[in-house]
Amino acid sequence: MAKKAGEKSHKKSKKVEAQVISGFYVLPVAFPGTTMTNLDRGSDEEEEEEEEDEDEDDFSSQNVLHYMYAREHKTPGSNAPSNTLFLANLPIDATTMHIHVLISQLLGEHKDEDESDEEEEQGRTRKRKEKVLPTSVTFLPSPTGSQFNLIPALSSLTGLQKSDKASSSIRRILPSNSSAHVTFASAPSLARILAILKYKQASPPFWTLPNASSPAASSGASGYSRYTAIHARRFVPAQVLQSTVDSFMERFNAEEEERERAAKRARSEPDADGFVTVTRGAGAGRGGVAVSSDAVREAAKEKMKKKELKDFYRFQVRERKKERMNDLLMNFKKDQEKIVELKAKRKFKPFAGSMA
Amino acid sequence: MTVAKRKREEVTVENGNNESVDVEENAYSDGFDESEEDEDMASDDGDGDDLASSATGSKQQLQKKKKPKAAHLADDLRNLQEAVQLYKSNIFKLEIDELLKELKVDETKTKAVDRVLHKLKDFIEAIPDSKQDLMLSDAEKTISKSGIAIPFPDPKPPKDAQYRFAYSTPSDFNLVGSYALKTMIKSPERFAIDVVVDMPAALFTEKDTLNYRYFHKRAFYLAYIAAAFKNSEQLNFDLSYEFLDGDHLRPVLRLDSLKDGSESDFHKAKCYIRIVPGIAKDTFPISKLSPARNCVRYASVSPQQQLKPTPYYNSSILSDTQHFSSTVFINKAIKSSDGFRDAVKLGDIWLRQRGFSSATAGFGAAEWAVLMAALLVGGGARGSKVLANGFSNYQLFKATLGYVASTDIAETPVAVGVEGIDFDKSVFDGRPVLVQNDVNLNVLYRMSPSDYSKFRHEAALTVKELDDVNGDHFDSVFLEKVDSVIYQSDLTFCAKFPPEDKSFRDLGRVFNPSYYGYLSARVYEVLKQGLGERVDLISVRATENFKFAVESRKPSSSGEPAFTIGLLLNPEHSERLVIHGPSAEDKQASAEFRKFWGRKSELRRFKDGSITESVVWEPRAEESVVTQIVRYVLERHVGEAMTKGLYVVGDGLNKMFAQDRELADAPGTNAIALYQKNLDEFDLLRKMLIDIDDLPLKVSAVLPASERLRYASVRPPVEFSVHSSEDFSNVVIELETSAKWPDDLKAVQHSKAAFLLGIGQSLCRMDPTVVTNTGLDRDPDTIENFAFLDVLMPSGYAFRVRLRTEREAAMLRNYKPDRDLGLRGFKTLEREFTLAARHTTEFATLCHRYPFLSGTVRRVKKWLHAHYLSDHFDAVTVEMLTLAVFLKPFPWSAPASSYTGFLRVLYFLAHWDWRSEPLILDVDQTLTIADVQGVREKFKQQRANDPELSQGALFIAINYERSGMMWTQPNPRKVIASRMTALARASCAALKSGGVVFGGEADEFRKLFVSPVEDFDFVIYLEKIPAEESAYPPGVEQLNEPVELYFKELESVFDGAAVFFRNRLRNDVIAGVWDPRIMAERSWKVYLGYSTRPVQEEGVEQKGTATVRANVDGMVREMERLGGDLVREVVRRA
Repeated sequence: MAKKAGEKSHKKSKKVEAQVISGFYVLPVAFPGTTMTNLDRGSDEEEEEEEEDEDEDDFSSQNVLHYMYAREHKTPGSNAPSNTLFLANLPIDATTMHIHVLISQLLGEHKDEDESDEEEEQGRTRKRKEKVLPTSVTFLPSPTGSQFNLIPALSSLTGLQKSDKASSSIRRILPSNSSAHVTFASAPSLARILAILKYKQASPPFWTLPNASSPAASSGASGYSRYTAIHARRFVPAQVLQSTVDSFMERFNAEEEERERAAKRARSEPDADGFVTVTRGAGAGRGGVAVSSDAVREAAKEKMKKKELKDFYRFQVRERKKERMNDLLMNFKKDQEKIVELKAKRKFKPFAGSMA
Repeated sequence: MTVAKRKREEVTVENGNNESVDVEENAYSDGFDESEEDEDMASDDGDGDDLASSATGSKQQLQKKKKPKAAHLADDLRNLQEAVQLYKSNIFKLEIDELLKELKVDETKTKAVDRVLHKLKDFIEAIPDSKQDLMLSDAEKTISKSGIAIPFPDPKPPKDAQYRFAYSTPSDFNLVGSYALKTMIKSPERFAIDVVVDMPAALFTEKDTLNYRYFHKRAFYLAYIAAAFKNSEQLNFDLSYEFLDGDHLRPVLRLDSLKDGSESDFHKAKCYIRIVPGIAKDTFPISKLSPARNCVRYASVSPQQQLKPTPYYNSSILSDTQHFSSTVFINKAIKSSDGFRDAVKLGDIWLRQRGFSSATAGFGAAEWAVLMAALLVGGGARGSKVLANGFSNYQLFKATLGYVASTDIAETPVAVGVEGIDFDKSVFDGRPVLVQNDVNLNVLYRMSPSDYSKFRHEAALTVKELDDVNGDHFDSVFLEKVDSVIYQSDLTFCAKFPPEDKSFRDLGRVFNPSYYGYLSARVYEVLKQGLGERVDLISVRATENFKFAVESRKPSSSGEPAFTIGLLLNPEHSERLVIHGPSAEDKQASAEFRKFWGRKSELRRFKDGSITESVVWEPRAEESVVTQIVRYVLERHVGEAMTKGLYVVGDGLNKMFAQDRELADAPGTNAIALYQKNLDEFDLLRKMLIDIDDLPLKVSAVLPASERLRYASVRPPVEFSVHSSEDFSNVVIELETSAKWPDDLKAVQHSKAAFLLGIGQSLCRMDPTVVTNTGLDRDPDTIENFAFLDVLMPSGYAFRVRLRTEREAAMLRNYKPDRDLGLRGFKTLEREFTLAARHTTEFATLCHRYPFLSGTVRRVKKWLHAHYLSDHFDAVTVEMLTLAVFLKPFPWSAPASSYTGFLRVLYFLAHWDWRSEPLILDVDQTLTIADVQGVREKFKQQRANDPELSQGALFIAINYERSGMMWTQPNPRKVIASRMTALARASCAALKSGGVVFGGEADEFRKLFVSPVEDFDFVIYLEKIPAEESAYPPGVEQLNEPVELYFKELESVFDGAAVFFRNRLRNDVIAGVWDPRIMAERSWKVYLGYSTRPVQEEGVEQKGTATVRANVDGMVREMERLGGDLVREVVRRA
């Protein structure tokens, strides 16, 4: 997957400062290459086949870059040095693991002062890395995006067995353009990362999980297995739904009872000032009555209106007439405008089709 | 009176104008009072006198106070009042005004032609007389010297003709017709200026009425003039002959302008001149030419047999006496009625759009004018007038159509002038009759019964349309080309003309000199008898060439004119398999029946014991019963030559549909039958549900809420096919009312889930072979419905049951913690539960009322799927769009074949201006004007609130859903609606061009169902997921729809960045288009809503803000990563 061969030549070159946008460091990451091809428009199918290979050379084998934007996160009002990194425009499949890998890659990239004895270096940096690795990552889904709501959360189901298909994990996918707060153990750790981000990476780090990552981490991440898992989650066994409903109702009833008891108490016991709060009785009107009473009121209003004499006084007649005249005139003007509009569309040409 | 239904206003206007002298001045106040009364009568009883006086009072005030402004105002008001009374509506009047303005012939451009006309007169008067009494051979020689032919009509004069030919200066010279009357309109065909030259009576003898002599002499006369023009050096024209109004007996000389800049150049006037030979009224005794007389002594079969009358022939001669007087007659009408001239133009436009003209149908603007003029002076019961002089042009137009629609003038002729002499209408045999009494001429003698029935059909349609107050209809009445081979008929055949046969030459031409006319009439008769009640209308048309070069005697027949037969089918009878003939006992009728049907006829005994002659047809997928009959009877009675080239228009499309696996129609079965099993199973399920008695509450109602339960799913339901949600029929159930439901929405939803679980168990207890399964629509932590119950019946039909409670709706609507969330939930509940059930019931009923609604809607859905629009249109939206062409088929009648229905929907989609027009459907004619106005008001508000159409593009209201956007919000979005229109237009254009409909094979029609991939920014090709074959009894868990979920997830993850497309029927491809807004560079901020990349080259120094642009490569790669092994390949547009 990884194609670093060509990029190595850049490594020795001078450090270049990373691009900064609105105070954010631009951090490109590379999506490993896949099968995407360019659609050559208008070319014959035969030709396309020939060209496909070429396309693959300049597009597919080339890793596609994704751009994140990073900056120190400052808690408003606090002057203390921050230990949190604000990372914007995450890839949609970002997980804590991804961010860990990314950061360790950055750290790894940075230790390259002495390339000769890599092995030894690696041992040392690993230790350093561990200290610098983030302690927590909080994802902030893009407020403009919409939530994919076809996945019932594991937490809202009770009684799931480990063996149930519905219990398998499903990776959360973020809406495009989401961000995260990446918190480090200490402010210096963050400073170290920021120092790295300040410079352009010799080659963009890969957006990937550790090669030997457990299958559990990637199950439910993509493709058939993901959607089969979601499907299973949607079609939970009857007993799971039953116990979910039961436990909800139990909780609900308990709360309800508690509320009622509290209300009763409020009705019978005077409060600190010696007053008894008057509350709605348990059996009093349920919702829905209000709706119908609204309707009744509306009807009554209508009735009242009907009773009103509309042309009892001369001025009423006059006013009504004037009003209507104005209405008519207004409509007339509007109609005329519409005609002008239609005319502009060249509408009044009955034989236009045959004339052309 | 036949047009008694005229609007009240029309009558009042008539009176008003009759009595008032200074109409101009009074119009304003009259009009005003008029509306006053209207209004009062509508609301409540007011004091009329008082109102009237106050109205005049206010008017005087107005006039006194501010003169200039008031005058202007008064002007506007007067126009307005007139419009309301004299027209359908104000806007309609304005539209008519605009149309007439558009079609007015520019008089400055006709000046040239006026000059030419003067010269023409001088020129013709200067033509020297020929030698007297030329023999035929001499006459021919005289003319052929100039290198032209004499346009003798068939049969040619015999070699030994004893009568003599001659030319002498015309006895009269007149400008007649539309140019003289100024009723012509601009049109692509150009208009004709008719100049009548009266042939002196001295050239004819009394016997010339017989055996074509008159026509032969007339032809010579014309050729003589033509020769003079040919030899002239001062006047240069493009000369040709033309049959006057399609009458083969009466050629005229046609002069088209050359563009030579000479004095006779008038090409800018966009017209041509015709020299029409005529005769004075007293040239022949009128009585000899009365329609019941025979003037052609043909060789009869037996000497005893009486010679039949020759009405066509006689009328042709009589017509030549009427050129000038007819013009005078119309002119009188123009003088007496202000609106007349424009009404003629309106009629002309209306007729042209429907393919009627004097030449092709024997009824054009000229005949229309005569008819209207006749109705101005009579035509009603006991000679009363049908039209009034005070009518506006629109009223004249509409009342005339109303008269045509309601009065069969083949039965009760319209007569003009003093009562005539023994006029026998029966000789016209089904042709319409409009008699000029003084000469005993039927002006409509050339109109065939076929054209006449079509004319009446069109008139009735238009009247119905104009009576519909809930729409404008201006476009379909005047602007749309109605006469379309593609859209007009339910079934259209095209054929080539067989060569002239003997029967025509021997006898046929005596009664109809045009071979095309003769053959059309025969075809019409045969089809009428053969198809009977299967068809509502048969329209037979030949595209004939009437113009020919002066060098030839008649038009060459090599042009192979096309011949179209359009049928409007009767949906109830069209596909019946058996034709019941007369009982075997009725010997004579049986013999006739056998004679007509030949070997197809057989004696059969029927269930009721009757034995009758009958014909039985087979149902065939590729050929409807009607097509089989048409082929059979035409071959048997018209000849093989006729049927050889016969083909069905759009047959390829039908074949394509017949082969379509997704539609899976069985030949010969009613579309509705395909759904019967599923409906039966639904009834069974309903019974089981109602019978459940081991739950705290009983099921009180079981409602169908699925396209599969209303005959509208593309695929008819199939047993044991449960691969996707599409394969389930949605059902909504209600429980008996109870006060025990909790007051908390979440608790209600959980209780509902508990009920569904209980119902599932009960069903399994009732019948252990029923398979049930529960599923979640969403996370259970919600105030909306989250649970459903899948039921697989033992028969293999699958249902998805959801529960609705009464109080839920009110609780959602008043959900205090989050009003928006509550309202959204309420809307969903309304749509997916309440209205879905209502719509299912209504639409199923409509499918029974319109037998081809089901077939049409399934084809339209397939078309939308094929264009990857599956997820953008709610099934209900498509059903309503389809319904539009059935409920509002104008300018046509409701389609009676799935083929026409489908094409009409395309036509409708291509022409619907959804930005400014709501679609309002009235299922059962119960919407009042106020209702419609209310909906329009809502539409206006909607557009005012959301001028960008960002909340939804289509506004469709129907009786039971008047908010207009229940199913069209948020999808389809504006871009998708535009795409729908563009695709429909492209499809319509593809049909029109390249002759696809004409004999195109199935493959050519597939083009209509292919969306070019180039239209998309990226295309994700998906792996084929092997469908797991489900064995009986199938666990419903086998249902698996990864693509569905992948697609939905893409939509939500990239919401705002891209729009996705797919064909749900295939799920082979997901295509996408970027939102154009994200393609622009813009300054960066944290949440733009889509993945970005910096625009500047990396490494370049940046200061402050910088711009970014959508990282399309990155996003496509993200989609691909998410799709994982579902994705085979991604193609991105470069």
